[in-house]
Amino acid sequence: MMISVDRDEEGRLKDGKNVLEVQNVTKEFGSLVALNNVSIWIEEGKITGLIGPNGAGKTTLFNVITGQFRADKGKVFFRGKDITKLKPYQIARRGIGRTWQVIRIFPNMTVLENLMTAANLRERNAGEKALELLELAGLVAEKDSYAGELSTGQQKFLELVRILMFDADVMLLDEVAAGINPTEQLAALELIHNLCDQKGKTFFIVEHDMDVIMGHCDKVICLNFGEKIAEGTPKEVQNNEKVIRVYFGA
Amino acid sequence: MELLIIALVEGILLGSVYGLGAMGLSLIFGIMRIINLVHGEFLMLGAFTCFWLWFLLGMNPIGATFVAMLVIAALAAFLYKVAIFRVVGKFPLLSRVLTFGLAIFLWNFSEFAFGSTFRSVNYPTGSIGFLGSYLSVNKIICFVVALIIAGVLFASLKWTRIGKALRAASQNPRVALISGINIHRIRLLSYAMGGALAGIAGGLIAIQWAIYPSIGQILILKCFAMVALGGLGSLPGALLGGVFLGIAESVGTMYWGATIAGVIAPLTVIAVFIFRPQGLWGVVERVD
Amino acid sequence: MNKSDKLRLAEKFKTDKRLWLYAIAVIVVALLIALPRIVSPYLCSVVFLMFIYIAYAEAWNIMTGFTGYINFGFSVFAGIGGYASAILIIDHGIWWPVGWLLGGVFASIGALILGSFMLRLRGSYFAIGMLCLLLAAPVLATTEYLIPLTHGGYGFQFVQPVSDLTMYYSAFFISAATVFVAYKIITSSFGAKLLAIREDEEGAGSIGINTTKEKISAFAISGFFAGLAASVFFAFQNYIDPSSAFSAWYNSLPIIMVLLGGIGTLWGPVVGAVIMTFVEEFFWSVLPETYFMACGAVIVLLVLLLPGGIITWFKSRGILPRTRAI
Ligand SMILES: Nc1ncnc2c1ncn2[C@@H]1O[C@H](COP(=O)(O)OP(=O)(O)OP(=O)(O)O)[C@@H](O)[C@H]1O
Ligand SMILES: [Mg+2]
Repeated sequence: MMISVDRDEEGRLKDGKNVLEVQNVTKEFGSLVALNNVSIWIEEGKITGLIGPNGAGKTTLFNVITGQFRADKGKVFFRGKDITKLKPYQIARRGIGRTWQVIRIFPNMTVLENLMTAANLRERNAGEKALELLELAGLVAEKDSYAGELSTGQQKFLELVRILMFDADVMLLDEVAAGINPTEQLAALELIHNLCDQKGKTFFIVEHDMDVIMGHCDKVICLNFGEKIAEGTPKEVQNNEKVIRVYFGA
Repeated sequence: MELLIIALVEGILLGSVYGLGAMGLSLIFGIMRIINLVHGEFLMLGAFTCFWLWFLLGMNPIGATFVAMLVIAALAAFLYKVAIFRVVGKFPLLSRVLTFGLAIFLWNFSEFAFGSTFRSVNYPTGSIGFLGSYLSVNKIICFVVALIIAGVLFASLKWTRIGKALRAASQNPRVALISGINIHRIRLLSYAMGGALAGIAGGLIAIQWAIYPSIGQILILKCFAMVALGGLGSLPGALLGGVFLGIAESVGTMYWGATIAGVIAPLTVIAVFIFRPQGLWGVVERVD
Repeated sequence: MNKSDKLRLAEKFKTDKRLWLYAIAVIVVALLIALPRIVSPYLCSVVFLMFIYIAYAEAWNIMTGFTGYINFGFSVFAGIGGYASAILIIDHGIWWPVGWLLGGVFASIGALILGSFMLRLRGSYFAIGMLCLLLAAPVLATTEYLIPLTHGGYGFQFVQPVSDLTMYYSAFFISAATVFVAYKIITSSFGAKLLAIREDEEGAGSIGINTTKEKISAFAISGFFAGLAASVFFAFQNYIDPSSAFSAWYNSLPIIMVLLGGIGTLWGPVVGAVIMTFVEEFFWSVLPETYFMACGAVIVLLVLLLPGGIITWFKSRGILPRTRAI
């Protein structure tokens, strides 16, 4: 990676210009070290991928960023402000949205209601905004169905646009493409790119499908046993020997 | 000072009996993750079973207590088979409301069948002098019975195969499911055992106190307090919580009178839940 | 019935049954207003009770049905409201409508205070905590510290402040207001947030919902209507004492009614309350001794056989449209 004036030697934007920074975070569950001194930074308007074998600590990292877990050590900064100790809802309101590895929509509520849950109470035209987002997700026809009746793919779209409802700028997506059919996968990726290019949204995505990661991410980070073992462009990471060892067990 | 010691001893004697009831509640919670709101009625029915056996058949009250154990265990097993099993592991509202409804039913059934008069078992065993005061032998006998039962329970949980299965299921219901333990039988067993413990505790209460149908409501409150103190799902915790509550109540009664002592239990529950939800001795545990 | 049939039915309902519904609603309201002139005072008092029950049930539903937090301590708020209004009206000579309103306000404040620490408890802890609060309340009300306020076990004897007719219309208004507010809540994004808490509280937090604040708001609203309805109820009953104020019976009644009608639905509590009013009246006259027992049995049977309640059953059969407004 090139070192330019406003970047430090690791390629990090200086002066807290990275939209999201995780600094030396450690998270332990009893004797298990789920995250070990992990530092990452996410640039605004880019798609960053997070890879690593099962149990590497990817979801745990998301949980630390969004406040579900409190880090044992280390800090999380969002737009230069320390958010380590904030509650999940406060972090969400600052502009970090997430989806879950196991879909977490509200199954006994309608699709429209699912979006309205995330609406700002003071917002006047929340209803119109919700409809626009449903259009984006191709779910307008289903707006009055119960969310639990949708297909897995549709539920993923719903979960994704729900975080747009509260205007999240940074979206952490835990396994977006898993369990949905190829057509939906393509549509989801297109949506992500559009949001990124047109609205300047930032994405941080966990994905097991290497094609998705390599073809769509600007930067890739690899975790293994709670440690960051590589980061860089998809190509760099793909050719990183540690990564190769983890994935192909050489 | 002597008064305080007497209150302490009385509290320990009382608390051991309470503790049996609370252990039943805790056992059921540990295995099924439901709050057995009928538990107070189990205690009340145990007390009445003991009373009627003594009153009608002239049975020895301690013997009657053990019969009460079997009767309430059978009742619990029956309720599990017809109703409770349908709501275990479902939306928690269902189990709470179901056991709540059962409690209302059993309580008012007793009101209807037995009337709301106070009754008591007359079991004269005399009393012994203690620090210039008297302790009734009744209470000491009940204490010994409670200790024996608790001892047998702990031993069987520790060393028998079924006891180990129960403990495994209590630690993690899902793991137990995978590891081939028949979870339905375990649940049935734990519910019946919870009932059995309540039955004995009820019988022992009938020997010491006046009983009446709505006593179940007061007793379940005490059980909540003990279980809260000991940590939901922990058996030794429940027993310790019982002793703790017994002492708090007897000392409280001595200093402030019975009315205030009556709110010790509910306020303890709320305070413990808010400040130390894992109980005084328990480890952190997620509920629901 | 297959899915398209259901959909068609719902559509049909939308277009030509809407008008019918409005017509029926207007007729019912007119009938209820005219009722005191048509029927006997006895029947009027039953309908009065029905209004109170509707308000109770809907208030309980706002808390428990919408947020999923089981409030086993409903009577605490009814009791606080009843006592507050009795103290204000009898001991301080406050004009009765203001006294009633303040009864609701005090209950609401009580709910706010109790809620702000009780609602930190989750699941079983909350349910047990509220039950303990209920059982502690009558004892606390008779402790020497509160006797100057509550008059201890003796309680209050009302000099009936207003005519039965005024009570009737007040209760009517209160029940209508409760249902209206519940309607406003459940069709708003506030309501959606409450339902989200019921569905998945952690998930709700992750999309920016301040779950504590929303729960406490729902609690306070629920407490307000409970206290308001209770004020009128105790005035009608003409006395209040600790055992009636914090009665286990009036604590369970809303639970039965809401379960019967449909928990978490708008009209379920109303349906349940209407049915239970007349069932109660009937049972009281036929088998007073076994009445409570029967109610326990009804709760058990409802949970086992019709866990969603009447309205939900109709909705799942496609007989009623699946909208929050019903
Ligand atoms: N709440 C928890 N309590 C205890 N251990 C946990 C908890 N959450 C995660 N872990 C452990 O932390 C480690 C990392 O888990 P994590 O879910 O972050 O992995 P992951 O990279 O997301 O894996 P996967 O690809 O399977 O989703 C695992 O060993 C897991 O068992
Ligand atoms: Mg994961």
